[in-house]
Amino acid sequence: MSIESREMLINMGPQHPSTHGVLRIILKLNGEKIAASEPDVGYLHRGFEKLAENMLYHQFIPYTDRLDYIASMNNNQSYVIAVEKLLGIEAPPRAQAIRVIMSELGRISSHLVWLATHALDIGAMTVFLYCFRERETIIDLFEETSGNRLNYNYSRIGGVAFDLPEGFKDNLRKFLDIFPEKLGEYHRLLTKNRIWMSRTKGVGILTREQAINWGVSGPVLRGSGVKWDIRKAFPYDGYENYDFDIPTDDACDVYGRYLVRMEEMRQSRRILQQALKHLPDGKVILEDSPYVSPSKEKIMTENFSLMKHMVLTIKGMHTPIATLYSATENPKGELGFYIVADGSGKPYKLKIRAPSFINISAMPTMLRGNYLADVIAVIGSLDFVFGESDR
Amino acid sequence: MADINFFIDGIAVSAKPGETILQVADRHGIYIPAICYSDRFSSPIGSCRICIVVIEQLPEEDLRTHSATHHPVATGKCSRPMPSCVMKPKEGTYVWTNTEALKQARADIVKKWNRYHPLQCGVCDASGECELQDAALEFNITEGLPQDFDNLPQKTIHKEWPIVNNDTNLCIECKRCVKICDDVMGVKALALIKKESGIFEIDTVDGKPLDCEFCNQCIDICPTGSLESKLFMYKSKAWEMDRIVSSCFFCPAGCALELNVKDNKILRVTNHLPSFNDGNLCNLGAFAYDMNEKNRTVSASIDGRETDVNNVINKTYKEIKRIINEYGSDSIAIVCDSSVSSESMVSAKWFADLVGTKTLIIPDADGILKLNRVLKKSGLLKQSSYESIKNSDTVFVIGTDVTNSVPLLDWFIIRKSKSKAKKGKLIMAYYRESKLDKLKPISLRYNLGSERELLLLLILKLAEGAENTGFIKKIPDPDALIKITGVQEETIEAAANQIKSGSLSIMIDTSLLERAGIPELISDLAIVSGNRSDSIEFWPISRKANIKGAESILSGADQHIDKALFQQRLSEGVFHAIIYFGNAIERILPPQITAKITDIDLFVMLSSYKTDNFSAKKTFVLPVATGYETDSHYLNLEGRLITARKAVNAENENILPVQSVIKLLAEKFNTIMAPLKIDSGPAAAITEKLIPLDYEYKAMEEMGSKHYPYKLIIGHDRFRSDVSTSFGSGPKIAKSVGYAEISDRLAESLDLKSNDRVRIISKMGESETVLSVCSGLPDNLVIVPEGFADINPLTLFSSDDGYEHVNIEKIGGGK
Repeated sequence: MSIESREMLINMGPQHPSTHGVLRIILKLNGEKIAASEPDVGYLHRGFEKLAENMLYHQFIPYTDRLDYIASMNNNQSYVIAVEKLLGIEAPPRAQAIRVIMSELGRISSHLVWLATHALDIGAMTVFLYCFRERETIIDLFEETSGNRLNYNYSRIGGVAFDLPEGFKDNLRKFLDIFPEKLGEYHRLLTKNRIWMSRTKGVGILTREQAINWGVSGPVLRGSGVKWDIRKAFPYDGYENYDFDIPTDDACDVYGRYLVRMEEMRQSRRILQQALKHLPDGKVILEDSPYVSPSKEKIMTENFSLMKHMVLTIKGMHTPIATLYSATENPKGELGFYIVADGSGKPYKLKIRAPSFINISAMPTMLRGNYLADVIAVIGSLDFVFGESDR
Repeated sequence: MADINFFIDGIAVSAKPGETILQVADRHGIYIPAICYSDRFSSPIGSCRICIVVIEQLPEEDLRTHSATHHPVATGKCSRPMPSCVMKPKEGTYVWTNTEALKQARADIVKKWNRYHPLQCGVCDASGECELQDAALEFNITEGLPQDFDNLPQKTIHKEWPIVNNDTNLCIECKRCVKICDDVMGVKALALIKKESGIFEIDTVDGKPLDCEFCNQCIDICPTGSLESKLFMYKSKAWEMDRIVSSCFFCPAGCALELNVKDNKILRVTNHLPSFNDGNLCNLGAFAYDMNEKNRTVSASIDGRETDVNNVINKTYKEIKRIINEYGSDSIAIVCDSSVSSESMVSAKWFADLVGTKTLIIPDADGILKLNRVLKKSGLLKQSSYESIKNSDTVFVIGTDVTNSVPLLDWFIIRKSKSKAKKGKLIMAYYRESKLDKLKPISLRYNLGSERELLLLLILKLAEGAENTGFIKKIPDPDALIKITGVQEETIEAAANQIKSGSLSIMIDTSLLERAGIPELISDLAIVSGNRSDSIEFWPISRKANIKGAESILSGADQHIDKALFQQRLSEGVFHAIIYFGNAIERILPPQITAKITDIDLFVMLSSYKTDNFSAKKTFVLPVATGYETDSHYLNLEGRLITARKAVNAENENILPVQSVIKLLAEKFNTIMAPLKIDSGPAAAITEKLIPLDYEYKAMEEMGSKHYPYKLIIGHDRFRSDVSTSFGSGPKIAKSVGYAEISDRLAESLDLKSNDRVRIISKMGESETVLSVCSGLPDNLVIVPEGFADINPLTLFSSDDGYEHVNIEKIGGGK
């Protein structure tokens, strides 16, 4: 029997439990080491950008739920903020605060799913169960608010669909009270765990320069030591009023990104506490705006409100003729919407800058020289979702 | 006059003389909201006041220092709000279209409209295309005026009107319907009328249920759901329908329209396209859209027995082959209706070439072909254009009522008379009163049948002296001619003077052109009018949609024979097979011809509609698609190739486009049919030298008899063109039966009333119908319209003179 010494090409995915969706990676192996790799995406392409051109601005909101379906609340918020910027309107303060609460809860929930699956992939089964336990609490909160458990469709152009339900504040406070303890549990299970450290430390290096050049964003960027957060750089929905830090780590490896996300959950809790404390009263959606349908009561009793509602739902609103790019800091990174508006009720073009897609593109750089088994760790640390990447 | 320079919202603009501020703004792309304004009208209404602007007159010294951009908002003293659709700009003024005060004023107007507007957008047909809805959003109405719920005004809902449903509760009193009815259609049926309670409502002028042209114009232009079509009500929401841009093919005008289709069904017709018809449509264009659903031939058949299409095509091939072998290819005649598409006509001609027959007949094209030949000889042949009607100094209509034949031309003439320039005069030569008489034209009301004499008189007047009329042999005595025509000499003189005054559009009925001498006389008249060939237009007027297509296809072909020759050959027994492209042959050919066709060996019919039990020894029927079921082309009156686009699928797969049927048939002859080439034909060059044509006058003998004292004429009706339109529900509601019209004096002498059932008797037979008594008709005339299912006037005709001697008898009591 002779030993093959050539490089070997193998396919990983697209149907593989640890690729977090339908990702195919073409790996060129030199023994156990990865000489080169090429991620192949697009298996979940549904043509959202094209679909958007044929629907009213309002109608696209539920589609954004299906981008990063682990953090639907954040996508909703990101899209409606883009449209609000296009129209030159701003949601009422209470709606903005509610959207901050929802997006930070979304961030924690998304990071919990990341942690659960990341740890599971590497072999730490317990963490998965604990994380999903806490995530369940958050999803219950979302369900109370929006009626849905995964695709919330909660934000509206000019505010949010409904006010917070009764008892929401108490439930949220309860969660925030117990969450640090739970976070400590995860830390105790992983942070100093020898197996965990040996599987993640020094693995999937993406240097600061590489990270910037690849255009990665979110925790992946911060895990390479770049202090960049859109919530701080271009605050939206009143993020400038909240006191929080941007966690970074200079390790540039899987472990670094792990630490960044763990810290982000703590920071999100901080924001949530402040938001709860200073939650303003008032309307949750702009009223008397030419871009917002009047309330159901008005539609049923006032002819001009009914007329406005009919036109808004049939022809859509009158937008300015403009192009606009707007981005928000999502759990996965910078989610941006580029809108070309031609004055009609439908976008002429709507481009989505999906953080997952761009983060995946940096993967070959991280994988080069690592072992085949480390692919799983790197995938976990990138935390991508294909609903968003493939659109 | 020089252009007027002024500023709108700080932008320097210049107005052409006569333009209003709104028109200038529109031309420069500056938006001023407006509801009652439409550029389809000759003048603005000025009722809605949404288009208000303020005008600022700056002192002279300010003007010098202000540049256009240095003036973003009104600073000085402004005028009170003025409607910009009416106001003409003044030199150097600043017009502001969107100040806060104006926004508030517009919102106040919309609030007033909304005050008692019913809360029924959810069920209203206009929802989704309602301008009041749009205004509510555009001006962002957020509060209403106080309402007195104890005394809600209840306005009338006119459910009793035919076709039009008028719910005045929804009306915003913009008066667009009143304006379009008067200004564009010249009907003046609607008005804003003060009711006893003091509120204003749109109602008919006389207060009776609406009885008008039912042209859809008021429905189409209504900004709200106040005026709605009963045929469309509650069938669909505006946004659920596909709008297919197509063309009307019920008359040769070829108006552009949009077919609103949902679930493979045409639900209504709208038109907001920029086109030569300005969005205007008549009853047929707007309401005959469901004509492809009724009385259709849906399967191939042999002698009435339904069978497979391929079977019929096979048998047709075998029969034709047999007849060619036995009697030669000239024993096959191809007959084509002139209301079918160019595809049918080109297929017919192609098939005639394939079987090698020398006989291709398009019966109604005889007149237009004669004119074509005559004009070619005299050097006057050219392509007319609708634009030139608007500019011509004289419109001379003879022997036709364009209102009923080609409504588009009627609108052009009305538009001319309503426009401020008042350019051009109408000469109406017709034997009876018509709608255009309202415009006070020079009216030459001649005795029926004296068209030649009338034209001769005009020529003699225009030529001024016998030395100029060498082309007319045996010049008759003018006094005798005047007596025959029955027109006053002064009127003829006035008409002649008007004809001399400049460019000329002549509209003449094609059936008139079929008569000997008329084409030559028309051509001569045009020449002696002193015009050059570029300032004369001829409009052969017919009710048949593709009369121009027939002209284009036949003018170069050697196969065509006219009706008389066809009849002669028929009686000689030359033909053994006839292949017919079109519907209801008994309605396009007189009975003396159709009676012979029934004796023929083989009759193949490529029809969309069932006929009234017409059959030959062997009758093969092949179903073909209508203009709504396949893309088809027509040549309109100005020679433009128009496309009627496919809107719905045919009921079953047996129904094929006519060219596909011929293609299948050609395959049996081992021939592959090339794709059809349909074009508008070569444009005729304008010639400098005009040649008058010789004409010899012969007085016609009056053939009246004791038994048949009255003359029967086939009338055109605006609610019918070819037989297919009688299956459209709109025209059917507007006019359900083909009334025979007689004058009031004749009715009195015969003791007849309107709605009496009468029997019309001629040498050929008799026919029953309902009577309508009207004024302004010669006393010896009976007019029966064509295109109605219940009566076919053609069956009474024995000759081709254009009229028939008949008698009328009353049967039973009134209906």
